Amino acid sequence: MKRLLPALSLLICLFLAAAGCSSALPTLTIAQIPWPDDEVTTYTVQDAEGSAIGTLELTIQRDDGTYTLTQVVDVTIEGQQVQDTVSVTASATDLKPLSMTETVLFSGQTIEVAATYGEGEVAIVATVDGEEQSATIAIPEDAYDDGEVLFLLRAIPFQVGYRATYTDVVPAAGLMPEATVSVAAEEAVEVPAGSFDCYKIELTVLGTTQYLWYDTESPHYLVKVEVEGTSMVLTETATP
Amino acid sequence: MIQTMVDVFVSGFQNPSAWGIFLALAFGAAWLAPFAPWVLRLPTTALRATLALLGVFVSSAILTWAAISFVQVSLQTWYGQALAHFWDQETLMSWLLLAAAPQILITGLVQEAAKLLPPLVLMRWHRPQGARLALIVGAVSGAGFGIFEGQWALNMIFASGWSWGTVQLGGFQALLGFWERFFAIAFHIGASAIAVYGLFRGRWWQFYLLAAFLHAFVNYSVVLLGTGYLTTLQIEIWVAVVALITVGIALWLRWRPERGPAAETAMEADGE
Repeated sequence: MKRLLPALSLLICLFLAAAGCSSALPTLTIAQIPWPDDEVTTYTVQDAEGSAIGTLELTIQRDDGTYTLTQVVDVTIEGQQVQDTVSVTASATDLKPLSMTETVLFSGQTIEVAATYGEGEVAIVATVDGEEQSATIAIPEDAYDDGEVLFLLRAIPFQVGYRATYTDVVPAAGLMPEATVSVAAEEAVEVPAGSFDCYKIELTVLGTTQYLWYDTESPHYLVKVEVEGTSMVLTETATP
Repeated sequence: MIQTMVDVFVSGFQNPSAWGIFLALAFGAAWLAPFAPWVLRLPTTALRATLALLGVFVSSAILTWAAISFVQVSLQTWYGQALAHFWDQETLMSWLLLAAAPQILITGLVQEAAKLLPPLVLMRWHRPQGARLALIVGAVSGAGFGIFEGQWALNMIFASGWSWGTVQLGGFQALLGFWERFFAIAFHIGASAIAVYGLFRGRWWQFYLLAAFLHAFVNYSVVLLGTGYLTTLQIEIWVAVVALITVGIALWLRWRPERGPAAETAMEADGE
């Protein structure tokens, strides 16, 4: 075994050297906040065959120096209804998250998650059927809440070829993987709400890529999302 | 499909983390140690024997990962396309337990074959003096791939931002990824050791199929999870039990008294 040690040590050093490498992409920047103070957009959620399986509603509300960004997903998968309501309060200037609440209802079970963002950390309280768990997790400066991503990507610099990273905080799981965003192309997209010229955005988290299309015209509506066979297509926009 | 294959291969080298690599090596060392690989003496110099084992270790890792990326992925894709050609989604879902079986078997056949190749090459160069030495070569090959796959899986966990806070929120379920890798590495070591034992005994295809079927048996738990027959915790217990049985058989073969004319030479080679 002793004779194996030098060679094994060399291998370990090589692996550790590789571990030191990190992506050289810049951190995500906010180019503009294109939406009005109040806005509601609704979507149809479709399965891989294009059949409607539910709805998605995105709501924006401005209160003084913050936005409340809410998404409500209501889908039926294999006969089971799942309702997920996520509401993120974010700074109106840089969209940095301040707090988040999430309620998930499925199979008669209720999961509630509340997160409060502080300086370099997030305090999370999760309640599953009345049982409470809590944790405080350190977060980097480029952290955004997973629940605000559909809104956040509306505010990035829309230039084909733009690439950036940010830390995607998922309070319900206590995880925060790095996400890579790139403006891949300009494409025409047909949805129930009409035809739109869009920027196609690629969002990659842990090797899984989802595609989002945002209108090239301000206020850069989210027109379509594709995630592993499921898609969400814009059906209606409203400014109360 | 070529892009998918390349992506799978490249993913093995992505998200490197010191903790992921360290834990994979530690898990591998823990399961390899009972085979006592340091007693291996090939009829050559100590340095060449060490390099030969390292060659098996490294080539098993790269070769098997390449086999998954370029052979297993394509076979599984073609099989999936063939199923979709003949049956609709609803029919497939209702027959999933049966329809998924060949796809799962592919994983065992491809991976066990790839792990068998480096020992095969080594044994053609220098035949080990005794079945126990063959078992060691097999265990090292299994450890090579098991540790590589382990670092890939563990790096993914750490890249997801896993922390103690994840455990505080998710409880023991947040630790299941580590549990699974611990036993998956054990399985790879045990299955390869058994397959190479068969190779040494001149019954390569019987033992290769045994290892491949055991591998498929472990992986079939994913289908049972997907169809709702088992929970995540139950499949992790499934993986652990099959891994313990597999590595147990390999260790029994490794340490049982060897019979026959080769025994004396093997004992000498073992340094016992």
